[in-house]
Formats: sequence, structure tokens, C-alpha cells
Amino acid sequence: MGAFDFLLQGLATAAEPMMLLYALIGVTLGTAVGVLPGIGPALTVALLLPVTYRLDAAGSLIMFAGIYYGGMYGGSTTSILLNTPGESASIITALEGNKMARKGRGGPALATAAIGSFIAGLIATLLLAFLAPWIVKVALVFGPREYFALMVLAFVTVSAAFGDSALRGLTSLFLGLALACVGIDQLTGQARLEFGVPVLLDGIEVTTMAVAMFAVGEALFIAGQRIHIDDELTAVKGSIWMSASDWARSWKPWLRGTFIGFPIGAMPAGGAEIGTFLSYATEKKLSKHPEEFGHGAIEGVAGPEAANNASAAGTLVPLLTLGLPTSATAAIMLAGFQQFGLQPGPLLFATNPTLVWGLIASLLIANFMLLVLNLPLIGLWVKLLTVPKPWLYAGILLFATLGTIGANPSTFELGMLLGFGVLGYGMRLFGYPIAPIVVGLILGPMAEQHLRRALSISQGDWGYLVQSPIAAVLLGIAALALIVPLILRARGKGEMLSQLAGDED
Amino acid sequence: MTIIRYIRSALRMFGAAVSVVSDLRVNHLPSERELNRLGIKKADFQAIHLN
Repeated sequence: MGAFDFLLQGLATAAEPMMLLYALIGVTLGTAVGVLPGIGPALTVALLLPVTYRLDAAGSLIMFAGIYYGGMYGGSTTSILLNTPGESASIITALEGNKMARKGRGGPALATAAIGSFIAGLIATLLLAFLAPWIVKVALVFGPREYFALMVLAFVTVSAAFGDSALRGLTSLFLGLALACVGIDQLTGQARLEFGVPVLLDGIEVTTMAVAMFAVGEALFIAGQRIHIDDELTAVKGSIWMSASDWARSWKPWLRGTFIGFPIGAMPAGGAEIGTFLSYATEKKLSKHPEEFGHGAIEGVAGPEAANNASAAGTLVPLLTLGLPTSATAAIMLAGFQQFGLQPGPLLFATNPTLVWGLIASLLIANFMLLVLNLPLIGLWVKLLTVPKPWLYAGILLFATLGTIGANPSTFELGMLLGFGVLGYGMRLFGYPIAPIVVGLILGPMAEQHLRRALSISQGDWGYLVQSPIAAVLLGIAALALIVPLILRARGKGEMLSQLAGDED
Repeated sequence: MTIIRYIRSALRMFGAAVSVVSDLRVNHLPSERELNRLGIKKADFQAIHLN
């Protein structure tokens, strides 16, 4: 069967009433968190991990993907109407979108953002569907050493390649790797780092860690920042629909934004923001009306909004085909797969095609839902901003605590949630990225297993790890990703590489 | 020559985008030079309410 047949099968799964309900909940929650500044999809998915523990795996994952897509849609609303980006990927939208709104063209700005997001999401999801089987075919020949090399590459790119400080990123990563060693050794059955505490023999629960770092730590950090939105909301005047000229000026930026955002989203540590800035710069260069940029050019909204949605689908390419998270939300989604005993990667396409293709197809449906939800309900989304912030943060902490206790009813688990939550807050406060610690905890045991298997095959010969061309290339790229930024920093260009590893979207 | 110039311009734009995003992630205001490379005026950028 080809990708198209699998996609049709997936559509049949995703169109089941319960799956549609999960997708609707996901996109609604996603849009809401996208609208609210400071709260992102990573935090929301982390918060929902323990709650979905006993639910249907496919439904939960469809909901998580809906949150991710919805977050990208929702961020543009406050960017355009309030000049306050709900998401970091919507910063550039505020530049032209708010100027359009102030000129009484808020409707077309919101429309080009929503339709551009829809088209980009649609094309990028189809690209994901048709590219994934090819990558899976390549990945199926991977042995333990290739997988180990792939994980080393993931570790380096997420923690050190674009980090403000490679040391901080690597510290966070090694903390995660150390925590991953806690519990019973899967190969020898020996207890490790359990310090005589029997509960620790089961290891550190990834879900608890993810909730603590991304929900508790982030909520404390955002609450500590005292975000105030005191700007006046720009009312949407006139027609919400785009004129013929708006359509003519938008369709090319939508397409270009899609093809810029998708590969950057798939790139390790790429994130959605780089694509939006690149798309803006490209549109300004190619526009027939460059003088309008900075005064409300519709191309400056259409391109970046398409780019940020395409990047979300791009992120799912390495996650689903190789099991590699390239952003914080992807890392949390990986934890989501693992809580249902699933391991994303080439084998998942063979062992659980209904789930994988159902998930991919659900993105197409989520896109339609988002288009319908976003434009007519703008007033409702903007009202969310009136929710008092202390209520919101208290709600997040309460939900995180109840969810964790519900999934693992023990005081020890609650203690871990609070302890790691405070650690996450401290790390954010002192500029340590939190994505590497979670990636280390999730991928650490797999990397260890593959390394030990490879060394067993080679009877302890470490040279075996670089004797495969694929593994050698992957390790070479990882070494370059570690060394080149150090050289650039030494030459005083370090600022351009800072903190991308900690991409929280 | 045109192709080389095009590639250089694209790489410069990519570098500027990475630089701007990196600064934003550590709550720093991106430099004027990098913003200009992306066709953004610093004053316009400062007008956005970043949290």
C-alpha cells in the first residue's frame, strides 16, 4: 500500500466520532493556550499527560497533536488585535498584523493568518504523510550503532548546538541522563542510584518529570514575571473577509511560508520562530510593495503565519519516523507515546499503522476544525485574556497536582512533582534550558540500550560505532554541531546561537 | 555569480533569523544590525509587547 492508501485508512480512523471529539478538545485547548501569552503547547500537553493516562492511546495522541496545531493558530489573534504575541512563533505577525488592525483591516489580517495557517497545515501534513514512509524505509536498516549515533545527535542538537551556553545545555542533559539511570538496570537487573529507597527501583516517572518541569516550573516562572496586558484591544472594523487584492497578495506568501517553515521545523532545534522571521524577510525582498512593510503589509502576516503552522507538521517528521524530538512540545509528545507503551520510530509504522496514520490524518481534520473555530469565534478567544492571571497559574498547579496523584497515587510521587517543579523553576530562572533534561530522561535509557547492544556485538570494540557510514556521518554531524558553535562563540558570534536548544514550543 | 550571491544572501538571512530568535529566547533585544538584515526596523520591533 502507498502513502495515499494509508492516509485514507487513517482518515477513516480519525473520522470516528470519539476521535473527532478528541481532536475538537485538542484544537480548542490549543487555540486557548495559543491566545494566552506565556502559556504554550508544551505546558498544556505536559499538564494533560497524567490525565490521559487511562484514556485511549490514539485519542490522546490526536488530542496532543490538536493542541500543538491549535497553539500555532491561536497565537496570531492577540498578535494582530493586541500587539501581544500569544506564542513566540507569532511575534513577527504582530509587526504587520497589528498595523493592519489599527488601519481598520484587522479582519483581513486575521483571515489571511487563519487561511494561511490552514493551507500551510494542509500541505505540510500531506508532505509529512508522503515523506514519512521514505524516511521509515531508510531507518529500517538502522542497527544499534546507528540508533545510538542518532540519539547522540539529538542530545547535542537539543542541548548544546544552539545554546546560549553549551555548558548549561549539557548540564541539563546530563542531569536528565543521570536521572534516567535511576532504577533497575534493564540488562543486568542490578539496582542503580536508588539510595535504598524502594520506590526508586521503578525509576523516575517520565510523566511526573515532564509535568513538574513544563507545567509546575513554567507556571511558577511565568507567575513570577508578572505579565500585564494593558494595551487597548484593536476592534475588528469592517468586513472580516479578504478582498480580491488581498487574496492575490497572500497566496504566494502562504506557499513560500509553508516551504520555509516545514524543513526548519523538522531540523533539530530549529523551532517555529526561525521560519517565521525568514519568511518575513523573504516576503519583504520579493514583494512588489516593499514600502508597505512596517505599515501593515498583508504579505508580512500571510507568510510567517503559514511558516509557523508548517513547522508544527515538520516537527512531527523526525518524531514519528525516528522517534527524535526536535522541540520541547515534541519531547513531551514522545513522553505521551511512551506512557501508552509506544515507541515512535520506523517500527511503529509497521506495528501500529492504524494509530500512526490516524494521527497524521487527524491533523488534516484538525486543520478544518481550526479554520471554523478561529475566524467566527475571535471575540470569545480574546475574552480569555480577561481571566485573572493568578487564577490561571493556580489552576495549572492544581491541575498538575491532581493529575499526577490520579495517575500515581503516592505521596512520594507528589514530593517528586514539587521537587522537580522547584528545580524546573530554578533552571528557568538561571537560564538553564529544561528541554534537554526531559530529552535525557526519555532518550537516555534507549541510547544506553543501543550502545550496550552495539558493544556486545563488537565484543567491546568502540571502533565498531564509527565503522558504519550512517553512524559515522551522524556522529560527525553531532561533533560539528558541538564544535562549530564553540568556535563561533570564540570569534564573538556566540549570541546568534544562544538558547535555541531550549525551544519551548 | 548570481547563484553564489543568492546563496550568500540566504545564509546571511538565516544567520540573522537565528541570531534574533536566540536573543529573544534569553529576553534580550535583538541587535539593530540583525533586525535590519531581516528587513525589520528596531522601533517597530520594540513596539511589540513581548513578555
